[in-house]
Amino acid sequence: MEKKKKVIEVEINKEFCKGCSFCVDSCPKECLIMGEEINSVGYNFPVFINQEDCTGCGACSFLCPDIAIEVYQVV
Amino acid sequence: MVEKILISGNEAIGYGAIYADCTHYFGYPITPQNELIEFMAREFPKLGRTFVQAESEFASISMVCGAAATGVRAMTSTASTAFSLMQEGISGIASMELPCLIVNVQRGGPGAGSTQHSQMDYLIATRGAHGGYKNIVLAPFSVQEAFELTQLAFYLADKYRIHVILLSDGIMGQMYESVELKKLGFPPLPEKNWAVKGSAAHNYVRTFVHNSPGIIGSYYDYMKRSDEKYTKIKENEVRYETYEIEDADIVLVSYGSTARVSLRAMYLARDEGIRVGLFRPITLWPFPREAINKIADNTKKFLVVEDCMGQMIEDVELAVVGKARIGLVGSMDRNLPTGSGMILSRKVLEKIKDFN
Amino acid sequence: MEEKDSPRRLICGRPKSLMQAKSPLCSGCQHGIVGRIISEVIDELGIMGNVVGIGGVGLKRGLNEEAVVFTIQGDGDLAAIGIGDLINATVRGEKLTTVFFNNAGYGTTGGQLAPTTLIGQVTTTTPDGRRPEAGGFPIHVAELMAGLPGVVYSARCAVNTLAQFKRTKKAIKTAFQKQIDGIGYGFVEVLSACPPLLNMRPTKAREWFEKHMLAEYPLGEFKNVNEREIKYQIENN
Repeated sequence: MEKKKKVIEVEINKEFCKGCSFCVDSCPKECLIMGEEINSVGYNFPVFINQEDCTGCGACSFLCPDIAIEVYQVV
Repeated sequence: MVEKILISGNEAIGYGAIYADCTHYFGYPITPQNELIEFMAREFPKLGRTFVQAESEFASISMVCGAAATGVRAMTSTASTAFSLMQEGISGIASMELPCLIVNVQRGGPGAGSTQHSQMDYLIATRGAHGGYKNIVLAPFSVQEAFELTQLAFYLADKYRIHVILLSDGIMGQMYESVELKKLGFPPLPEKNWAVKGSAAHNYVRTFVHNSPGIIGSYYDYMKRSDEKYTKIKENEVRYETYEIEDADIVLVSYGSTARVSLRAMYLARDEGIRVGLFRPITLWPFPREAINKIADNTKKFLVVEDCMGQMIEDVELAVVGKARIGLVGSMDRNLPTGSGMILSRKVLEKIKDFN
Repeated sequence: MEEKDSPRRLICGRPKSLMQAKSPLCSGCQHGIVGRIISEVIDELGIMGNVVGIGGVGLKRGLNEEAVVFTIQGDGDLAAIGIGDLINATVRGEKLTTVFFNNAGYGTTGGQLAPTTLIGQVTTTTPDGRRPEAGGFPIHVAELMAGLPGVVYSARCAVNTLAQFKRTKKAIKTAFQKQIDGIGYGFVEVLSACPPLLNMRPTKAREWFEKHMLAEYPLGEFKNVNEREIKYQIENN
């Protein structure tokens, strides 16, 4: 029987984001990309696009200099 | 009976600090204030208080800053040369509005100067370093007064949340006199709810002090608050003493050790029938400007006696606004042209007679 | 977005002791990550409410014994103007924790030479790169601190990868713990890249960091002892 897969949600506080894209770089599963939209001060911010592969390792959150990312596991 | 002991001016400041419940002393040896740091090293640990010999005067003023930020009564002491080194720290303390005491036992300058007495730091003490802040400056002229003004200094510092400079000098510091040790009573003080002690001490509301006004609160607020504070101090805390000025034709203006010399000169002159008075500011900032201005309505001659090339004379000039003539007895009138030379009362008397 | 209402568990997010506010730092400044680590450590050690942080030079002795005091310092106030004070703080045996942000230059003032600047690195005051004849050599503070008797912990870390993040957190936690246990002075140097100083985009600056800074500054623990050593003592009666 297949092990039940973790369902992860990544929330991005787009107003805190300064568009450094460290989160995109640090994601081992390429779950994030930099979006086209800009926030109120003019930075592009990342978008969570790949919930399938996300393991919830937290790299994007921990390496965010602006502490703008929160990672949740749906239980 | 109140205890009376024979101590030096420097030690009197140490006793004053103990009686004022100062708990933290930080300092670095420099002549002529060494008796004070040695006194603190001896006495503070016995009372369970903190004494630290820092690695420099900049370190000691930084430590005072840190300790004062936690709300305790902290002080340091130094002499002219290193008072310069402390300026950055003092300016930082002014920006954080931290109450503390800085003792400057003046010696000769500029540069390393001499290790003897002088009064050459009047301007730096009353005007301060960069940033346009103000600080209370107290000048004792007896060992007893050094003891009492130290206690007053801590009270004023806490009352207005401002740093206070006690401006002594080499003669004042080294001079021995008997002192009545008694704790002065002061009205209750505001609570230090701004002190940085960890948020648990303030119901988990975080407290900050910052040396850049505008980071916490606006720069305008800082300036407004300071302006109001300075105005209040100028209105309420001017202190001075006058001797026989009512009928005086000449008024001597002097503080600290030269005020003692001037007092003697005044009596010598009176003996010879010359009507001389003495005005002695105790607070150099706020300077007793109005009091001097009032005296200038009747007395048309002021002779400033200070052991430098003329610093307090500028404040006296501003005070009399042209109503009287002003002369100076300065370091050019010392009895010896050396670092240990001092202004003697007979020289002051001579200048009084010459001043016409 | 309907999932928002479903029960979920926070894996990682803003630490409780970190204020809910936008960071004032430049884009890609890893100092924010270190700030987060310190906050997480404060949360995990349960010392919130009894912590005092100090930016820049200055010591605090006025606090009660249990208070945890840490300083956050940069290349200038620690490695240049303040290094004498830093060394003397450890010589006096102060129980503090220092987190040193080494980004190989002065970021706030606009990218000038710092004592930690690499040889050959271009800054606004070394337009042709730092030359040893004129600008001297980069200072290795973590190794220097390890040689001082009052220091019980000294480490150099980075925050460029998740693995390094975890090591840094462990180092800062150890340093705090040593202070709490009353053992002595803990020192943690955290390397980072300053994108505006290097005139690079954040990701490019991180690549530069991995190539050059890690080559100059080795990571690791340089000292980790549980007692301060006294070599010789005169007995006074």
